Amino acid sequence: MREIIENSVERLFADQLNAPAIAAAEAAWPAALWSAIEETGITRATGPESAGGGVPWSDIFVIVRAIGQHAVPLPVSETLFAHWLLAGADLEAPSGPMTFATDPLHLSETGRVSGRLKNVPWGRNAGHVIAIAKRACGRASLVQLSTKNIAMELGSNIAREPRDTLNFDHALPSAAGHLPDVFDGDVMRLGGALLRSAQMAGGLQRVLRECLQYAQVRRQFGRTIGSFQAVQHDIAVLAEHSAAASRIAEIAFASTQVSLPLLHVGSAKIVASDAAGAGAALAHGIHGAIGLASEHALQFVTRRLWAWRSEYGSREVWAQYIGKLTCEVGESNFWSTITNGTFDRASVAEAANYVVLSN
Amino acid sequence: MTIAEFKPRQELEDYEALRHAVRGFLTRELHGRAAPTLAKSWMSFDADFSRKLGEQGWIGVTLPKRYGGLGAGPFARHVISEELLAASAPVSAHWIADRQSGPLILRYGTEAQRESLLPRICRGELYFCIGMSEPNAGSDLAAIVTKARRDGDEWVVNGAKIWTTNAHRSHYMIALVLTGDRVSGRHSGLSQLLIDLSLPGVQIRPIMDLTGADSFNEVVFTDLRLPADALIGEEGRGWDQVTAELAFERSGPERYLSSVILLRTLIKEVGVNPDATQASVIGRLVARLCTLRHMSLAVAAKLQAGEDSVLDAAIMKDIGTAFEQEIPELAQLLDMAEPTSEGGTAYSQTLALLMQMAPAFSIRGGTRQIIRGIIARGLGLR
Repeated sequence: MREIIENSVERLFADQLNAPAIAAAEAAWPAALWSAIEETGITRATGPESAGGGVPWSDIFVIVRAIGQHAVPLPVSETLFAHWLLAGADLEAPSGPMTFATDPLHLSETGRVSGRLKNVPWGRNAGHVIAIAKRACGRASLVQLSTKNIAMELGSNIAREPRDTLNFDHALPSAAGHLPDVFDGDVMRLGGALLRSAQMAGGLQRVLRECLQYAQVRRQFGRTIGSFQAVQHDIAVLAEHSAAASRIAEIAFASTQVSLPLLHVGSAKIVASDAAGAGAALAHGIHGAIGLASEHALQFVTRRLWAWRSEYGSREVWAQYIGKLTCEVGESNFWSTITNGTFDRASVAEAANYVVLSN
Repeated sequence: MTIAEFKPRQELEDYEALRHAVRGFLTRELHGRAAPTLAKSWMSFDADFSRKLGEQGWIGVTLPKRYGGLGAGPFARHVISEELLAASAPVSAHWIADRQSGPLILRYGTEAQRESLLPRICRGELYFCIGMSEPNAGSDLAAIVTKARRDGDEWVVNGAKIWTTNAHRSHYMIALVLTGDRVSGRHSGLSQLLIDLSLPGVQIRPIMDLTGADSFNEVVFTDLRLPADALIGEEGRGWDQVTAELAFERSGPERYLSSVILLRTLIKEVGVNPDATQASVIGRLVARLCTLRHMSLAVAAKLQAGEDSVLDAAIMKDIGTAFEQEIPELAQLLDMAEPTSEGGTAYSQTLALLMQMAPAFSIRGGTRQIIRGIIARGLGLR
């Protein structure tokens, strides 16, 4: 299954996207490109099986990673996550591009929502945004809101991907449902971090490929630059970053089922964000000036790496969070937390039985 | 190009019972040992511990049952190793025999060698050391000059091996030596010999390391006479055999867990309310540990499937050893205690030990520079 998805996604993106196509999409919404991708059904893969979805996250990984590999300038990840959220709350999904927001909205007694959603990916282009809305009593709902006719402040990240601020004032959701217990209040940030980790892993694979190709054709001092040991070692380090980011992002996806696994998602965001910065720097160093040219394939990917590592929590934010939780479960639960892959099962009983270090 | 696609859940769940059995055993055996004692882990020699582990059946698990093993796959050994090293168990006595000498003898040895050596390896009674490096052949292993010539039914060996961990406490060395001329290139004319270290003609001189430990040695052979059947594998094929042997060395949990005792001690020292800097350091290390563990598991899965894993193992080793080396560096920056050789706390002593042991992590098993060259070759640049 996974191989079939990977091959068809690879073909689709490779056919549709080259440097001029990405540049055009960064300037204006590429409606035809969106339609071409939506027609294949991949944007609905996370929805219910009855609506053409039911694909497990372990397989969704290859789609999201390919988005990074090909610098796909569309809200494909966001739409995938929105479908999964709606399915979790038993809400029917609309067609078209969707997005999601991390800021919570206020939900009134009459079922209307108000509030400000900052940095919403493709807010201006997505037909609907999925958000969490809370009543005064604290009870949370998952709401689906139309983005038509709402007050919007436009913004973009350094990949020139829209990151808009949406203002809702007593708006009526187009659908609303109980927020499932398995989604905690952090579900949006966790989901965003999960998606960006895999996108960065894909971006790193791409910059590695670009560097390998370039190093084997570019000649200086009478030989290819890839034959110099210093360059070889830089590329080796880049390959390490790429492998590490891919591995942990894949693990985070594979351990996502009905809820998002905090330890693995956090780890993936930390490792991929570190790798993104280091990898982009190495790749530009290897390319020299040509990688800075606006029509060069490399910079479409490195700009995304720089943008994505900051979104949904930087490396530092996640490191502090994971570190705090690690200290809370304590030294005696440390190794079982790593092997269980979750903080949830850290148990006092198991801790009491683990190798006790004397002082 | 990237580390194997790998579905960890199904594979790992098959080994949960084994993991918990090993964990329970370690809990009993290591209870109450102090962190600085445990810090040396796979450099710490404890024959009693090795024998007890052998009694459980957990040494040489990949060897066939008729030789005392469990006939299990590399994954079982991986899970046992993870648990041993995460608990910083003193595994040094049997480590080399379990990791590489046993599999090497199984693959290339004669039936007589297998029958005489493998059961004792599995019982945790027979210890091996590695005879590769020489005074003038470190990373450039093919430059070795130790020579074995045939004299009737015997080999006569002259030369020296160096940086040999545990030579003075091991029963055997498997040594790479020159048995012929380098007629067809630098890698020809090499063979592996099984050397009984108790024989006359073997002189073992300790080399104290910077921590004050005596695990290193120089081993000198002067007209050492070995029986003809000391040859392991084929005469002249030593390079290929040693290359296969090194593959066992590069991707195991010992390439990312060497400093884990310091991370555990640090977490204990920090307590349940870390400040922002402490939380950040610990969180980032935990993230990298999770990543490395799954990379290492992926390589084990490749080995289990019999796939080529040279590139993956090299990538794993380079990142894993960098991680091990960074733990004492980051712990030092947190300024919770100065490293102490004497006095202080369990934490300050563990910090001191790991700081001094850390440089070795990216030297043993192939230096960082050599490993990056292997990665570049795997990527098609060489």
